[in-house]
Amino acid sequence: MWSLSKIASSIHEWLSSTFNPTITQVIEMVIAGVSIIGLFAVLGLVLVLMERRVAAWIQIRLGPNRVGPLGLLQSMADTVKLLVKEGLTPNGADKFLFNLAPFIAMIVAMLLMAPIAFAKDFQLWDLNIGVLYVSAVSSIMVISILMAGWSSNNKYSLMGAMRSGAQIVSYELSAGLAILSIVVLTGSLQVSTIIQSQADGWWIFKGHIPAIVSFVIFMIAVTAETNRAPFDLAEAESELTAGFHTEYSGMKFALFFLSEYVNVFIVCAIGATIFLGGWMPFHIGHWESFNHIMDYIPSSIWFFGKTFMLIFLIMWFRWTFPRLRIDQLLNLEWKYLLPISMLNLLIMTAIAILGWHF
Amino acid sequence: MMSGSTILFYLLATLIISCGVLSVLTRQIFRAAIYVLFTLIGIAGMYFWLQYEFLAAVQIVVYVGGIIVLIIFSIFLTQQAGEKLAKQQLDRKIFAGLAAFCGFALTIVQVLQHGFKMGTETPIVPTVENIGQRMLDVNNSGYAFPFEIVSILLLAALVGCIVIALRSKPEVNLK
Amino acid sequence: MMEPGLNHILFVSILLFFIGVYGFFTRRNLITMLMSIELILNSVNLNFIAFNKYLWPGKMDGLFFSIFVIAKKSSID
Repeated sequence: MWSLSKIASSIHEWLSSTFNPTITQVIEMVIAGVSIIGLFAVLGLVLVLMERRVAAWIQIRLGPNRVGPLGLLQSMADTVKLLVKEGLTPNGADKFLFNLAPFIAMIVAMLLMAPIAFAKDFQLWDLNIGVLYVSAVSSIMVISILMAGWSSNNKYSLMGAMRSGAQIVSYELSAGLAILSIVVLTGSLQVSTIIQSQADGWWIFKGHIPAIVSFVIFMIAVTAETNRAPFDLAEAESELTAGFHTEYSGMKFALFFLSEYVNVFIVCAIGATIFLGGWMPFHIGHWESFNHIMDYIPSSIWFFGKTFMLIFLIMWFRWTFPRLRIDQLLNLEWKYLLPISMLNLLIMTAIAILGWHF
Repeated sequence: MMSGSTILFYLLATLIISCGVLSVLTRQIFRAAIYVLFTLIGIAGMYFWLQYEFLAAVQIVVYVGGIIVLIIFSIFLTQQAGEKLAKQQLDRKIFAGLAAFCGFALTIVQVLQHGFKMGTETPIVPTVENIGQRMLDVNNSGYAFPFEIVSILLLAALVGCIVIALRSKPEVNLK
Repeated sequence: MMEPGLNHILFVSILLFFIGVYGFFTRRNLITMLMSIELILNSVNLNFIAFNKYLWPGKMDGLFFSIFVIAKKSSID
């Protein structure tokens, strides 16, 4: 049957039969890098179009429908527009940091792709602290926003950066605790082990109510962490023009924009991996024949299906809830989400020790 | 022909040293913070290179996600964008440079003369399970007691922060 | 260029330590002094880890020292 892991292993065999090990490794690294960049481009195009279509569908209008058949080439046209625009650097800005910031956002997004399992046996780097690595590296993201805000030499940018700094640092805690409550059940941080442990059912079903609670907390926290509405205070367009990227134009703005969408994809992929079994098909306990039928659907389709379902959820949030004020935002985290997720973690630990989960 | 890990080591060492030097020499305070950040990321990379992945992740979470963000916030609240720090006095620079250089030379000579005995035991893989078991072990020279001490220290710091934040401001007479 | 070993890592960490010392002596601003202290503490951590890796690979004491240094540093901040 067609599968990504077979393609990868046949490429590896062909390369190692033609070249010596060092060159094989270099070529494989280049292939991995190029395919990640390709994935970024595709994700950018698809997610921008999807966002506009979802927005249009929720607001009962048509959305982009002029460029190409059914408006499918709209995001391509947007990309061309951004590419040919002039990249301005404001007077009095710290030019070095101003130009560095979007690239840091992009590099962080690339690093985060490493431990994600896209399909069965198809993963770039299965390191033994996978989930911790993701939550560690994603905290570098805030630096690029702070850098952009400071170096633009603009009050709006500074305000946006400070808001987003406070927001990301505080919401990281409850996202981490929500992840930890599943790690307690699996006893491992490695992504492949976490997925394997869901072979007889996903954790959201196996972990009783605490798993559902931590899933809800995780979704709220990652929506805040990726600066999406209703938590988009960092770029609240009615108050701060565009927040930390007010001064950015052309390709540098496009990099920020793209990294936001790629981040949404990554957090949804992590959520799908931890709570919904990653590439693992929908299995129920020991119903062998049912599980066997489910296995016929390729694992990559399961993974991308779950991930895009979560992305749709996050886009749905955007058109459902009004934007929070900064004090409401911090109250929500520190007075509600954090105590709830701590208590939840305690209950989950008790369940794991007593063996009450399925 | 150098292997990949050797090249990686020298790249990381160059990153650490050059960003460290730049961070103490630059006169723009925000840039200094960013250079310190790169040094810390380089050190986390060095931990990865030494295969202490857990420590590398802790380093990134605590330093990059916590301490550097705090430092940047304090810069935001106290400094003006585009302003430069005052020039350092020349005699102080010479004195500090001399002290640092002499200390460096003394230490490096000591290190090079001392023949370290390389360990021959079978290495423990520092996985999360091993670390956790040793950390909370109360018997075989485990680290449960220092762990508790550190948690009390963190609690004290938290309480101190709250007390400072709660202190009511004195009434300001606007007239 | 040689195969990197203990001495190479010690060289890096000692150099970083004295860069931090230089910064601590020359800076007059509290925030920048704090940054120099970060450099010093990190070089110490690197040293602990290098000794743990090369001299006592069967133990994890250096690792725990580093973790406690990081925890204390975060509580000081």
